[in-house]
Amino acid sequence: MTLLPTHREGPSRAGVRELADEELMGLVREGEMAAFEVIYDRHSRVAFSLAYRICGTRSSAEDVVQEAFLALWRSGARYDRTRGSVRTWVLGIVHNRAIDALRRNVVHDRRRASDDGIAERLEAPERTDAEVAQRDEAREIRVALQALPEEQSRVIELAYYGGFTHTEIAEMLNAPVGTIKGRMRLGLEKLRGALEGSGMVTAR
Amino acid sequence: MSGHPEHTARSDDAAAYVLGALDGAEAAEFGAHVRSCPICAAEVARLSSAVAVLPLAVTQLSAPTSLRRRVLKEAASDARDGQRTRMRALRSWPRFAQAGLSGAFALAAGILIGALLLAAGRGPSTVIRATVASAAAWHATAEPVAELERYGNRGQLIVTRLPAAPAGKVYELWIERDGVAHATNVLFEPTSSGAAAVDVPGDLNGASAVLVTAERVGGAKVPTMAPLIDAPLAA
Ligand SMILES: [Zn+2]
Repeated sequence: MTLLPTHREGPSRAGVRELADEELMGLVREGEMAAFEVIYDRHSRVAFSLAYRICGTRSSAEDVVQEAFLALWRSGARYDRTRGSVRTWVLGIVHNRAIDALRRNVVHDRRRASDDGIAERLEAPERTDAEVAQRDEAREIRVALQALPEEQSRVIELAYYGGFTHTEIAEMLNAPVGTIKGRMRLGLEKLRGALEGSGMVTAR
Repeated sequence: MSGHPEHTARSDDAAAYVLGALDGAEAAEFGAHVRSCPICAAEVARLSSAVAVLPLAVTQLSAPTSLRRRVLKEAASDARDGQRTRMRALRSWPRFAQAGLSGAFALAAGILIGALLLAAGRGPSTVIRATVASAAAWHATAEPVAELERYGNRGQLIVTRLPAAPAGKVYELWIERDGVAHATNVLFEPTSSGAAAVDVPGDLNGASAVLVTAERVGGAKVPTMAPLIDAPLAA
């Protein structure tokens, strides 16, 4: 499939907005700014929200999002569509970098920095249909997470949002490492099961 | 089920792995295991789909518009710099970067050298983009880039914008075969601008990846950390 028969001119701005993420990544690899812009607009909100949840400060969250999207721009070639959606890929980069930033910032007790509470003030109104759909999706996922036994959701949250290793979590909760890993697995299995019906998680 | 010989001890590691909760060395080791164990590979894929929804569960915030402007401006300035062309110049002659020559001159030199190489009949080469762990960017101002240029069974690793190794450490090059990193005894330091071109000694046939870690000066017998640079080789 040739996306860009005359790619020096580039596709029109409106046309680009119609393309799927995977097609846009092909253009990003060619250095097409308009395609990059659309990718940014589609995913920056959830990227920023995740980075903020992990880093706890607006400035680190901004740095993480900037680094992640520029990494995507500079190395779009690394994206492999057989391994998942563009959104999952971008959020994977954001997650790694946010955890790195968290660990680098030597806030060992991981107390939230002074601008805590900004979340409420920044909370986004949904403007587009896509954003409304995202909000509903988020609600469904939160319900599924809350439905997990507390000991399972706790270890998942500490690991994924808190950046703690299984050994650290075992120490914090005073439980054997094997137990912690087991809870992680059970929790993820249940989450998968709960969301499979809604098509958010693909059955394998 | 008796799949991989090492598999039995691993059943719960996949969950910790996909959540990023294994520490560096464990994660690298399990990652290598996954590549050779179809049972764990399937488990990782299955559990990853649950992890993929976790970012969507957080309170959704508006990303600041100032951030949007900054990101797009930065990306546009990259494009103007002709990033890719310049990198090609560095690849051909990393010393240009060291000498701090202007981008334009390095670019011209790159084209010239490219032509010379072509004339010298060095043969077809493939360029493999390596993964650079974000840990390698500890105090970098720009994203480090690493590529492996492969000519048949030989290869050269080219890095740009790689920060100096932490105090007391050097970069060490490894060849991965069957999931095990083998020492090449090649140690290197990038130039002050972060460039290096490192010949990979020996034969790349049958190798699965070329890796780089930071090790204490003098080098190590086995890697002591997860790879900072990972250039996968097609089987
Ligand atoms: Zn296994």
